[in-house]
Amino acid sequence: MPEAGPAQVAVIAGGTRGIGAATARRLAAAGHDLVLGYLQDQRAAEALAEELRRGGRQVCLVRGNVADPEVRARLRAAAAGLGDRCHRLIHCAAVTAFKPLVRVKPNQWNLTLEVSARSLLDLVAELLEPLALCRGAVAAVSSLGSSRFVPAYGALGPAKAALEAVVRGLAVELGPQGIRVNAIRAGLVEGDVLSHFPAGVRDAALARTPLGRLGAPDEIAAALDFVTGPGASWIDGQVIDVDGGYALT
Amino acid sequence: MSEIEVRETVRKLVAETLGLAVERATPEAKLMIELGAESIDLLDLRFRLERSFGFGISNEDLARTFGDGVTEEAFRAALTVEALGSYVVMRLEAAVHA
Repeated sequence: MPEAGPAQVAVIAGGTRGIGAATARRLAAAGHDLVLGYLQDQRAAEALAEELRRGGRQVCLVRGNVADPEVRARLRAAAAGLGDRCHRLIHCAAVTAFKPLVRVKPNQWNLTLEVSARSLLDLVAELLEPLALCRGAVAAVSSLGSSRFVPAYGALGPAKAALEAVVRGLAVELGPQGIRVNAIRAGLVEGDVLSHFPAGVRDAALARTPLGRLGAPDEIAAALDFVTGPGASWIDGQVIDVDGGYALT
Repeated sequence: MSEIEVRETVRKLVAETLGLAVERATPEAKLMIELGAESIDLLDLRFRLERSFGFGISNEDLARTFGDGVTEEAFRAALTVEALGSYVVMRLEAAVHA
């Protein structure tokens, strides 16, 4: 049962598709009002917002590139409209060119790192006040590419490694304010992104995964919910594998 | 900013994004077919246009400009430096009349 009183507030960057949308649904069901950042698909974003509003939640949509200061300011303003509180900040935003690393061009490297890694740092800085007010929690979605070779992953592997380093740094720096910061290192998940990988990646992942299947977006969402929730109150600065056991093989 | 200045700014942004000499970004040059732009480059370019001209660009805007349901091949053929410049000019004019 949601607690009485004002709803808790969650901000999700990349919150209207895949893992982000699954997380939004989970947090809405648990009684959170939401600020959802998204990049491209306005129709899908509005459909999700409408679905969650029908469940009684307040939902603010913010379109644009989270690496852009003006977009982050609008995310902050949306949180201000919900009482200037932020109990949970979830970072699911990422872009990449699906190609060999050696063929990544300078602008592609820069954009991938800006959106997929640096924007976490900048977004936490933007929302620091409402996060501190709530002794909030931050979680970022990383991937196996941070520490293993993933074919045709472009610069996203290096970006995820940077993201995890940012998580550790922020956890130490913000711990004294009661803000926890963690990452979920996701294995291969069913969804649109699969179509960008070379043929054979899916089957190879299946063969290596002890649980014998790919993940579902909601299984990553469940981990993000847990790690930003009260049950994880002593977990800080960690990168947690949620991959059906893939990393062990 | 005059229409000529807008189109010149678009040319420069295309060249800067793709790491090309600005002379290569001729009005008739097709971004994806001739200048080597990939999907992520178009996203990068879109962000640069948004920052430079102060308006947002959504998939819906682009679909209206290049035609809803247009094939990938037709989109690649239609996306020239000039067409992109015309899109920006149109958006700026629409903002003035809004």
